[in-house]
Amino acid sequence: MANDDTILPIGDDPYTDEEGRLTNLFADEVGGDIADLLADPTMWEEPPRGLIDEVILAGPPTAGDAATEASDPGDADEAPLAPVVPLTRWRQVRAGLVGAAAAIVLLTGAVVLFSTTGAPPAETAFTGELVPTGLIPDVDGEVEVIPVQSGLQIELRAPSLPRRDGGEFYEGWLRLDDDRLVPVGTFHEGGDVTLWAGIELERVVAMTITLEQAVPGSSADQASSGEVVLKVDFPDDLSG
Amino acid sequence: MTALSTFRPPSVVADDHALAEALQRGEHDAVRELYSRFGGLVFAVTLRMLSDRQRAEEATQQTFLQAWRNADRFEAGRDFAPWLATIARRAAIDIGRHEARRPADALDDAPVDDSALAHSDPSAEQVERVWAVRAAIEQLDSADGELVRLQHLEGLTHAEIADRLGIAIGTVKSRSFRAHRRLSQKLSHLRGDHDAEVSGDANRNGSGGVEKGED
Repeated sequence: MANDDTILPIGDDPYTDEEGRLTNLFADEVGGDIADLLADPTMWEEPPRGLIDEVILAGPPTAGDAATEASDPGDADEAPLAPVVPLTRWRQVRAGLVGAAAAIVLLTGAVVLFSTTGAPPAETAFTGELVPTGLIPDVDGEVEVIPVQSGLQIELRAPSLPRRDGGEFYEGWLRLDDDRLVPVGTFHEGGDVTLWAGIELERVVAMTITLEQAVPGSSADQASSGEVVLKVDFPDDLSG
Repeated sequence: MTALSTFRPPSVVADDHALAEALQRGEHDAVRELYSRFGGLVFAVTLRMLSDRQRAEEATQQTFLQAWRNADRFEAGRDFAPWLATIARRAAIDIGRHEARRPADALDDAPVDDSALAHSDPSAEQVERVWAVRAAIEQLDSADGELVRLQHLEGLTHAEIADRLGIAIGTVKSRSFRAHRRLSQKLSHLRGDHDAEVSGDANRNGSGGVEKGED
């Protein structure tokens, strides 16, 4: 075998012919289907680096998940997998939910503008500290959650978040008790942000802030990046 | 799954043991480490099976979530590869079948080459081959991996690669030779057993370090 620094003269690489193209030798050695796999784009694709954040967000581990007893490959092959929260599937319906959230925001605005009934002043139900995930160093913040007639008003204070421009932005998400994620709004910087959600407070188990990048031509249904930069867990005993 | 268990030096076995225990304790860093090591492999399997990036991402997520949630049932110290590959295959099959059950109107709108329309479950051996090829790619150093990608995926000649990378053609040739030798060693076990017997090549499973699994 040639050493790393060996420079072979043209024609001495047995895996190529004079034109420098692959010959059948490699395919003969490993099998033609293996050579075909090397030419398959799927072999060279990388998964999103933020994907594991969504897995962690869906955690923690559920002890004794009865339908997923897979102590060895044989077991795993036979055992049906438990239904798992379709985190990525969520992206498919996100466009609709974004629209719904926008409608909620408009409705909330309408309520504020046109309400003459003097509704009772809203009270803060929860104030929590946002914990950094390490994706962006030295950031923190807090959220204040205020149940209002239209849903939840979320006041975000995270001035240490570096401003994102040029197609980049932050997005807030609420995780519900059934592991679904609901988008609550996007923003460039976190100094003074108000977010809205048409969700019952008692259904919310956590809130996350993700780093997003606008994808040209797909603004209506852009998927979450899963790149969580801040997170706060909601206590169990909250109610609207 | 028969040949995904590879020879692991004692230090690697010890690391895997510690990682499994950390997973069993539910540590986030452990699942990140598992994803760092096997995310590309799992994604290659699910993408190859589902032919759709979004569904493959979903299957990859499910694979690691299932692995994390069932870490207490995994024997610490064993090789993660066969376990994860099996879970990945199962997750991709489930998602593929779910897609195949889409409402008729959705199917009517689906492109004719939609993978869900022509879905058939791949065998464990097919998954094993995909896993092994991806693993062999990942075990190349980055420069060799890029060269192999340019040769196989983009179909470039040595001269074209030299031009693309701005290096001498002799360097391309030596790297190509080295990379393909390594790939050949890593992957030769995937040939039919009869081929290996006929060839009598004692090195087929040698430095590639592949040994038969326990099942």
